[in-house]
Amino acid sequence: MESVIRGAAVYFLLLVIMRFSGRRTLAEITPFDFVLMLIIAETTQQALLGDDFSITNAFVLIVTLIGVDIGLSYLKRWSPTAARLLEGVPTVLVRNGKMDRRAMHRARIEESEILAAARLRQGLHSMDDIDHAVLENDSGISVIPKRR
Amino acid sequence: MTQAKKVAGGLQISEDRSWQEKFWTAQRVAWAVMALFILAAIAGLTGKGGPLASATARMGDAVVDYPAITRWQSDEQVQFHLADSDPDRVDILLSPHFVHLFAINSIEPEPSEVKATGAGHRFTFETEAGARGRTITFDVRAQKPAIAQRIQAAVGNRPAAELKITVLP
Repeated sequence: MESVIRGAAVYFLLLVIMRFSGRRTLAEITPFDFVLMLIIAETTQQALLGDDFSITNAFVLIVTLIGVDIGLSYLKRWSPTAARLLEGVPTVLVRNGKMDRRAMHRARIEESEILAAARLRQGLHSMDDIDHAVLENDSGISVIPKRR
Repeated sequence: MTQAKKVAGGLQISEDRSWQEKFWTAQRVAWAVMALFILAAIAGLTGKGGPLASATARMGDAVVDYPAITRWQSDEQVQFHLADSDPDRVDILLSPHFVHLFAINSIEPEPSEVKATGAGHRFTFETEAGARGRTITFDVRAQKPAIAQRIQAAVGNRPAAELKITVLP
């Protein structure tokens, strides 16, 4: 029972921390972000396992984590509110070629990041070429070019 | 899933700006809570170092240093500092709550005798009478979470001191 409680507690704790840390965190992975992720994983592992390194404990924890994840995916399908809480909603950063400065500020997105996404994904030159830019739930920035 | 609506420009997207604004505010509040949590940890409210994590109780001129806040399954020390006036043979009595809450990994110096009594475990130590700085250290590990668990500890014939210990999960 203790393993199930540990697994579920760590899952929800990580979910809350990651959700509230903001969409920018760990979005564009830099080498340091990668190291940070490894440290978080290592720290979490210790909290999950405690002193019990048995296969049974590992199995119980894996099944618990995957079970909670599956359960939440169904919850998100059934409840739009739960989906918004757990995953967030896309944020329009550029609308009809005009930057939404407030949304960019609140989502901690710089103009240079939108331009970088425009260059990388659409081969666009400048902000004038962007019709819409959206910060997606997966932290990526999608860019829709203006129609020529 | 959330219904995707069309916004200006023909973009079909489930944007909900008012909800997003509320969430951004909640996010800032959560950051403030995280900052407070870090300050609380520095102060010792999460155990393992910090001024509030440890406490001292006095039994006359004998003193016990103990973890006021500790964590489940983490190692800690409970140290009894004997008074110069204590005899060479010293008893330390710990109430039953202590052995329920902590596993004793080691005791330095080892007791010459341990007796389970109705009032708890009585540890008897052979020391050098009158020597200064006599300290008896219990290396312990918390076995279960507990909130403000009250433990009685006594050195010799002195009235017992109350140790209030919280074990975080």
